Amino acid sequence: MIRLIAMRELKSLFALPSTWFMLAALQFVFAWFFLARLEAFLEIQPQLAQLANPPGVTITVAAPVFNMAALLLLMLTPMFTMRLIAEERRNQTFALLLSAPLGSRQIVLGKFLGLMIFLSLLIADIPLMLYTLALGTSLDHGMLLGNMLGLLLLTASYVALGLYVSALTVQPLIAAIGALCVLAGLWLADIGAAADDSPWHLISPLNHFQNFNVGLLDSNDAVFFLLFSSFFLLLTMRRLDNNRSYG
Amino acid sequence: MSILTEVTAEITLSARNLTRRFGKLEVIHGLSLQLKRGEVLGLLGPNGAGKSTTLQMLTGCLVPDSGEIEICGIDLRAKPVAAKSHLGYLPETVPLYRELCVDDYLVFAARLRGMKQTASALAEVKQRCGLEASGKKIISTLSKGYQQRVGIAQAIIHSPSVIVLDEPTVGLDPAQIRDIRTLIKELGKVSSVILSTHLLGEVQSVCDRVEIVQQGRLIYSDTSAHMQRHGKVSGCLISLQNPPPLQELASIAGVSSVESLSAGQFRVLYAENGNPGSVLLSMAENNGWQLTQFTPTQATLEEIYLQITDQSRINP
Repeated sequence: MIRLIAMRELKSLFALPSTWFMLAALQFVFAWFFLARLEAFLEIQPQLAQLANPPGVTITVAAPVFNMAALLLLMLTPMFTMRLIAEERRNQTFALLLSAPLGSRQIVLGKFLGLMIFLSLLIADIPLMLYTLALGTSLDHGMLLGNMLGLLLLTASYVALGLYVSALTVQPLIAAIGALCVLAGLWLADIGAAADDSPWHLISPLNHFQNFNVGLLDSNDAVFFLLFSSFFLLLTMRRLDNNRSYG
Repeated sequence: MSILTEVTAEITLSARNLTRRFGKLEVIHGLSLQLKRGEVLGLLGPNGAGKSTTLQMLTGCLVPDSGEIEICGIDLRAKPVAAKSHLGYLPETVPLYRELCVDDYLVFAARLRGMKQTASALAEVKQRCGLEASGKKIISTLSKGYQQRVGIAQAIIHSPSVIVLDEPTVGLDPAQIRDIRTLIKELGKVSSVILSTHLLGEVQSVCDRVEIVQQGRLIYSDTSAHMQRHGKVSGCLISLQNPPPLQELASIAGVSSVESLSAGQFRVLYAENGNPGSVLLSMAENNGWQLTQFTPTQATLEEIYLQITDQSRINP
């Protein structure tokens, strides 16, 4: 059932022209940024070569590309999550799911999984692009892998939060802006907090991504993402049950 | 034979003492319903009477504040998944994923209800709903009538025991309405169908039983044939080219009242048991009234309906 709902989400996404437009535009932005970073790297490369232990191409080109993708996803994910529940409720298609023999758990996980598959496809072309560098130089595979894993976990936390906000309202626009505000708020509070031990650092998903970004695999960060995602998924399930009770 | 089927027909849907409030406003007050297999029940009522809310509760989209619902003997609250698998629901707004094609959508609806093999069910339901040629079309490109058909198709594709249709013929043209009504009657032979409507003609043509809802209460419940006889006063329209005075018509045995509609045209009302038609005809011939029209009239369903809802408004 979860797979069925996920596949339906994907089918609907790929049936919409806006999805393809978004994919194309994002691909263009990633490629543009990648080339800009690559150009900058090539310019300073002679100077880097004089250093005793120079930073490689992975940390100077790949890491910033992943970091930018993380920021872009922060702004993009709400556009997709708003469709998941809020738009279905506004179009009254949600009644089909509510009257079908399945529980809130399956609805929420199906929708989460569907969007995760789509966003994974979307971010999968970043490593593809980066691996073209392997033609001319050697890459730090471990760091790339860490970044990809981090980006996936980060996306999962975005989607879970967006899904919850989407379940709170029947207005897709409010769902999108609401999720964006929370995500951007967490990010801004994180970079705004001066103290190193400020709690804002602890609850900001983007902050936990930074370790992955520099190639550091910390189980703390992974656990944070898992907890953050499951917390909001559980809240969404609760919310759907409550919607049935309170109309 | 009919008594036998009535006794053996299983109860597919039963709701007891449903209440539902939105905030402080109580919209459904202790409503109870029962539906047997092979029965079409019409839920009739003015706008805002609570028809849709009732149907939403019966399908598990809304949880009632109190009361019990059983579908095929399974408690909807205790075992929602098992109970809902016997259910097909067409909400007021058809729940269509407009970006999908008809086939994909219907297969999704069937799988959602737990069907594994969908090919034959899909072909059959498309044939029943007249969608054979529309399988590959994108739903958003279909006309309103066809979208409504797709909506009905998704509700019946898994051959559920209980089919809930919320205003199924809204927005359709007369030919489509006729087709859909025929379909509903057919469905009502093997499953039980509950439909809400404010069209009295619909009740007359498809429903076996009628429940009238007003302000969240059931105020009338009977077979639709009985409802037509409710408070009936029979009458006829006559046209006479050479009419006698009104009193003369009124004094004919059995006539309860005569009303002059225009020069030479009268509405004659009489009690159900004493039809003065033959007396009237022979008098017209003997006295040279020159009868040109004689049309028996029945109280229309509209009149009966208004009568019932008015009565309950006066003494609730």
